[in-house]
Amino acid sequence: MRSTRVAEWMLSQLTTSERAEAVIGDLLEKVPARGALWFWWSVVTTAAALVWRDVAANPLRTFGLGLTGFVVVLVLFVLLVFVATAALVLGLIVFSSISDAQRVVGVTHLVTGGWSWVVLTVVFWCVLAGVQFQVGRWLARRSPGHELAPCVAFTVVGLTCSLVLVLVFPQSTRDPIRDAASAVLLVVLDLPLYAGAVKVRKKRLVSG
Amino acid sequence: MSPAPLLGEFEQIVLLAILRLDDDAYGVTIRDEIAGCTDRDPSPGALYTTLDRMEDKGLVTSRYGQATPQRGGRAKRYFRVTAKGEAAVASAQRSYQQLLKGLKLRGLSHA
Repeated sequence: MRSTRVAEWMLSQLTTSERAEAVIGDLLEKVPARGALWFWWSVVTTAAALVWRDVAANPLRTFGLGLTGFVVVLVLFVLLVFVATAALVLGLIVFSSISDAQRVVGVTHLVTGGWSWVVLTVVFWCVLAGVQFQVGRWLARRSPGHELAPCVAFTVVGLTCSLVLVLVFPQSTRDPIRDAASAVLLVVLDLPLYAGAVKVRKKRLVSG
Repeated sequence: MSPAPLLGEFEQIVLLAILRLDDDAYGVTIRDEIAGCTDRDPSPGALYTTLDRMEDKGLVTSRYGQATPQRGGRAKRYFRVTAKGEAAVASAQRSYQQLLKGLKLRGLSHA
């Protein structure tokens, strides 16, 4: 199995690299009898158990950090939306002061080209990812030895908030597939947060 | 001397499995020994977190063996029960024996 390096890397983010190596070696010994699916299931459940161990080591502090990080990202997200809206309004004001001929050209370009919206969306999500990356680093620095635990708490807080929103504002027609896709998207959007934490962990291990 | 640390049920099972395996106690053999003796197949996650926790508590020690091709060139992590671990498991078993004394349980033969 060539992809075991990925599994080993995953576990080494949650325990020492020597221990991760030994665990993967143990699981590989059983692969001929149990199969690749069992291997990956075991890697995921072992990772979950290691994360839970880190969270359970100090649950109040971990969830406190996760909640703080979540509030920071939420505030910055609102600010970002505010700035983007302000820029759009400003653009419209400038736009209304130009001649009709220029306006027709501009609107045609915006509607038919559509690239400006794509660029705007990409820039927006890149800035948000940058914010999450920095928050991930900040959380990891406050939890040495358990860098990923506050990030997991952050994700749990995010999912809980979205669940509360669903319960408080129920829709007449619920689509479970769309709800599940939204939950997965929420987790995927947190990836820059984990990347920031992984970077801090790597730096700590290198510096000894 | 400080009293022996309290052990959970799974910790006792893991310690006893390591003691039975002597010098050949590593992840795979420990799981197999537990499965063979108790009909329980512990999840790898539960086993490794328990082993790490017991090492932090000083109940077991670990050392790394040679890498083997069967394991993709990865070393085995061998475990050994410390004196503290042995005292803890002995203490837990004494407590069980005390509690069992005088009881007649169905499915359990008494000496």
